[in-house]
Amino acid sequence: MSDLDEIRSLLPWYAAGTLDAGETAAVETALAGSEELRAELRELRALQDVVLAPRAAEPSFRPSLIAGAWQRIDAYEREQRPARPVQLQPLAGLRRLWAEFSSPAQWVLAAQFTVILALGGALAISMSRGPAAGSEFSTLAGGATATAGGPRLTVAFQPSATEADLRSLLERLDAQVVAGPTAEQMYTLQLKRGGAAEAEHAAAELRAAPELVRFAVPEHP
Amino acid sequence: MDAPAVTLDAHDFEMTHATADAPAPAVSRDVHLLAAIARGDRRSFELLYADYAPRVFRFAYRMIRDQSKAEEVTNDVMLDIWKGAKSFEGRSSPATWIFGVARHRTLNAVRGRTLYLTDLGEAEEVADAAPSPEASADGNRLGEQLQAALDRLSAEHREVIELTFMEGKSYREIAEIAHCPENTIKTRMFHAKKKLAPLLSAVLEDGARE
Repeated sequence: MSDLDEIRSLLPWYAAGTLDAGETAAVETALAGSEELRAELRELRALQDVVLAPRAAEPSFRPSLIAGAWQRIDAYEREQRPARPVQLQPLAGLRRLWAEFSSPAQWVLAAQFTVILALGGALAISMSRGPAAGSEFSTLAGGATATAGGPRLTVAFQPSATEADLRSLLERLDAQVVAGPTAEQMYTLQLKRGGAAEAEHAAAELRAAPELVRFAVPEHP
Repeated sequence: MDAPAVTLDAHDFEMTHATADAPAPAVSRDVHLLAAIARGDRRSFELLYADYAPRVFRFAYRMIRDQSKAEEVTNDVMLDIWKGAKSFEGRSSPATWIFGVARHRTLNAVRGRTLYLTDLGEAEEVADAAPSPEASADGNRLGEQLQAALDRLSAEHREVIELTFMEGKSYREIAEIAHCPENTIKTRMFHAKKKLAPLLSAVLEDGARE
């Protein structure tokens, strides 16, 4: 493909304004020296106008459609729910329990088990509530929240990822946590240096560890 | 853009979840919405629906030319998003991912309608889309003829034009959406434009006369 053909192939996206800076500059240089390319650009702009123009016979989107979407989602969610458990008979269960725990030693064991369950439940509730209201967020990297530096990424970690895993990831990327978690368990990471390319590279590196990272996207300023 | 489907305020959502030092940029907003949808958050789904369903509908309608089919495709796509939000990994932007789903659903619907099924090599009639003498005398009718010629393009050609000009997608994003090499997208655009060339020239000549 000649250089002119290459430029010609980019013209539609130049007209649409979606080329990157380097491509835009190359197209503009070529346009300045070629009437043929300028004529082609005019045709593409005419095509763009026709595509963007409202069409008289084109129906509008009906916002009420969302009701149909909810019906289908609710039906899907009902299908996903596990089958209803068989009704328990509490009195029969108690009678069986009484019959099985006939010695004092067994009652002590049962009491210990109950205490362990209660402590586990309390711990789970406390973890699910997160930090207490008013407590300050401190970054995993241990510093105060950064306000300057390299590019940022939005990242969600797998629930099974440990603090040691995250610290190792952050060290490898030379990044720190500057915000999060949000209500959706997302964190904002900031690289200590670099630009958009480094952010893409870091996102790719994070995605390469799916056992630790659920997803990662660079934040565009 | 079309009217939103629900009267929820997207800005309100951003203010709730952004932190003071790290405000949620636009792309992150959709990422956050998808993450919340993955947890079954219905309000986030409504916000995403308000943004994307009108765009998906317009894309589907322009490809299928059937309102009820396009509406069905729209809700198919939105249901796929509800089901698949957990699997969104951020390898592409949310918009590219959603339009990838929309394209898949739309092409399936197009393939079910023989009237609009036109394979890449079968659209020769469009190449003859020279303007009629009456149309040449009337700019509006030229525009209508061009729209009609667009509708007669193959689905693969039409989608490249719609995604480029209506949705503002780069050729790289379209290649991701269509799961094909970037050069294939450029080639499809080249052929689509070639088929419309006689009408485009006439539109420009008509504009120059006015």
